[in-house]
Amino acid sequence: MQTKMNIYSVTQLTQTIKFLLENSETLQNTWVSGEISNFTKHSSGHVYFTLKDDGAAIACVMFRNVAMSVATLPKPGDKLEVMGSVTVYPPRGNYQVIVQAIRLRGQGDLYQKFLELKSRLEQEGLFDPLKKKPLPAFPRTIGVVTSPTGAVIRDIIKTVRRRYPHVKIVLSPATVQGDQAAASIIRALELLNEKPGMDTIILARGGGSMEDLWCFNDESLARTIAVCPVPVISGIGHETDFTIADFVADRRASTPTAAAELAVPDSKEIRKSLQQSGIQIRKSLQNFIDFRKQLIDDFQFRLEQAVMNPLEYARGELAVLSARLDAFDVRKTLQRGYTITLAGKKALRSVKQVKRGDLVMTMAADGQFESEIRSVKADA
Amino acid sequence: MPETKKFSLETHLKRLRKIVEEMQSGKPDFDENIKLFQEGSVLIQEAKIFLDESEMLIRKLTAAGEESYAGELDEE
Repeated sequence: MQTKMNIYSVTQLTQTIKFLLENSETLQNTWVSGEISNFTKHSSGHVYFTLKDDGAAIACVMFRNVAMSVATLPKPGDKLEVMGSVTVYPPRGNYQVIVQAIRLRGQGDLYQKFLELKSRLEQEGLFDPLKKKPLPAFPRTIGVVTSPTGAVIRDIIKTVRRRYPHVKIVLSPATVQGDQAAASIIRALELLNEKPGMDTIILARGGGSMEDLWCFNDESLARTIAVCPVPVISGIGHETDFTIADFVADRRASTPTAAAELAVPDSKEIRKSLQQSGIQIRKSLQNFIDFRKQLIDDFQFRLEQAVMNPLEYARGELAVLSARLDAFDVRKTLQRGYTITLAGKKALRSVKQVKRGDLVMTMAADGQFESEIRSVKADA
Repeated sequence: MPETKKFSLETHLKRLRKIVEEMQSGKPDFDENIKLFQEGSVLIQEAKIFLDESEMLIRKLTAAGEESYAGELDEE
């Protein structure tokens, strides 16, 4: 009577279960809340744990790529919210959640509150870029609001001293974690504002969980920062952490050390740029001088030209005149074979100039001789 | 030059420009030309000396500046 009954193999049955579970909308990409137990991190990097509550437990697998993207791995006893999909593992016949994301329980609520406050303050204009105060380039006094103990204040002091040794650092200690933190930070900021001559304020805290940094999402703190007359640099947590204080601060630095770097210039850079300016000034002065040297050389050339030209012209005229004078030169006549006879200083041109017994001087090309007039006879 | 008017390179250059223009115009007679030339030569000498001295001063100052930079950097 049962011969007609359909008999499944184990595999067939498991396949059916697998199909049903893995195609159920409620079991895919869904959030489940519970407490962690049996936490194992395999050498492959995959993480296995059990999520349980008072009534049930479910196996969870977090593959390596997801496990690596999680900031802090959960530990047994943690109350978690897990997002994942239910799958079936046929070889063992069990089902498990393949985890895609995790968060600590309540974090979802916190994040929601954070987003609400952020959008409200943004609409109020507390994050307005136009309201942000510029940081003084060369501060004399820097206020630091942070925990008086721990690495943060040490890192800030070290960084500031290294870059800009002569700046005064005023620490206004605050509790930066827990219920009292926001009020403590507000008080510390107010104390700094009461001090005269404050140029920049650094608000800093080291890295931590979202809960650790929660005090920086306080609304009163945000408003205190917004009305703070001194520019505020926030350096809270790590690169990836954003708090309301970061949005409302005049400048956000990714870490406390980065905040210190923003607060003061690097004196080495200043020195370098001063040196550069010196070189620039020298170069432009040298250019100025070189240009004028050329100018003067040019003047000298033109001046000499201007004085030499008429000189050359005069010399030319002189040459012409002296050539014409040369034509009258007696020596030229003598060289052509003539002689010239002088009586006293006058050349003889007429018989009337001499009489018998006069002494006359005759010049020839190669010398002169003296003669005595023996007779004078005029032409008829 | 405290005994005479205060030296000014630009005034010298201005005067030189004028002298050269005047001489090149051909208007002055020969004697005037020589006088202008003498005046111009003096101006040129003075300007050259001034520029040489300025250059030396700059060299001296830059050398001093570079030394002080080097000194401060050495401390670190």
